[in-house]
Amino acid sequence: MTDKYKYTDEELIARFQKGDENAYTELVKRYRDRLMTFVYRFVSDMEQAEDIVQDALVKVYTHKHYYKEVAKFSTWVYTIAGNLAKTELRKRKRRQTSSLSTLGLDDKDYDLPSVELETGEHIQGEYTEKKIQEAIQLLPLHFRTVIILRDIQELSYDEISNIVSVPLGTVKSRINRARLQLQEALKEYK
Amino acid sequence: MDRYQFEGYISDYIENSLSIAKRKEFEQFLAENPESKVMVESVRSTMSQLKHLPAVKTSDDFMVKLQERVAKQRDFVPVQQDNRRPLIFGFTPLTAGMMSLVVLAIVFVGYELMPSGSNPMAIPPQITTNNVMPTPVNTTQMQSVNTESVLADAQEDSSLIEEELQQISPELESKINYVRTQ
Repeated sequence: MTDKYKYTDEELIARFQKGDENAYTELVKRYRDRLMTFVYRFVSDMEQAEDIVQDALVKVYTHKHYYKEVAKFSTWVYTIAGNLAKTELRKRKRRQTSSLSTLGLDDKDYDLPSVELETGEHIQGEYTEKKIQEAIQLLPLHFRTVIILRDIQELSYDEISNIVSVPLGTVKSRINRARLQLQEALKEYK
Repeated sequence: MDRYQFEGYISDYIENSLSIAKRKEFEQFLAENPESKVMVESVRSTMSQLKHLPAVKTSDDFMVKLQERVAKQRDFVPVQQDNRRPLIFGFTPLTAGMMSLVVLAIVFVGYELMPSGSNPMAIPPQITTNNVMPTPVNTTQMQSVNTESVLADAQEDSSLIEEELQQISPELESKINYVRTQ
């Protein structure tokens, strides 16, 4: 590939389906951090999030021929990652580990990603992020998915509707309710 | 507009996706309910905080680990493809075999149940009026049981003969008398 930045995601996956492994590498580079942000915000565990992202990208590799050009590549890969993340959370629940939602807000420890800020802002920023992450974990899974995709990943309503396989109106309603719940949970920290 | 509707329209208002008429109605509700403005601003602030959360990055050895996993999968995939079995009329070989056995069993049972003259087992035995006495299955066992009944029958038979003789003897007697007189 002479200039990989010329290719859209859909062109890259088409090249990969024909056997161009460099196209797969480029797709991984484009999506690894985006998927990591999405999955981490969903499961709130760095190690687990990275495993899930790896699983998702391995699935892209082994199931490349399952992708059809009808949908966007991003829709497909987010769907895979989202399903794997939900499965992992269900397994976690079945293993009867303490659910984050059953603990008090101050009882949780998080691996926070490093944030490059000024010292004073750094502490404040870390605190705010911790509280926001805690509040996200209080949301039910179907609210959590859509609000992460909309307000953190900044995907369109249409794309979110395709990813979660739910009508557009339902997606909007869930996002609205999730925002109301979040702002309620974050009120006391403001 | 009531409180429930107002909350339902908050996101649309913030994202400027309300129709003009609905927007006017929403803003009128805001004017009449000052505390609702606080809620709108709170939601707007939450959205902004989410948007500005730092991105999360994968670890430095992410690509190395991924390539190792992909290399394993690359070796594994062809073996899985060879294990696919061809379908028989859309069924797996096991299912097709079991269905064949069921069909054969139905055919066999149906053949056995068909009425046939040469097959005494197929036709249930008919009871005739001449068959008064049951056929003994085991002669030794039935012998002692039948002794009394045989004697009783013999006695019955002899009485029948006497009755017949009595019926015949008046005629014979008259003939004898006729001959004598001649």
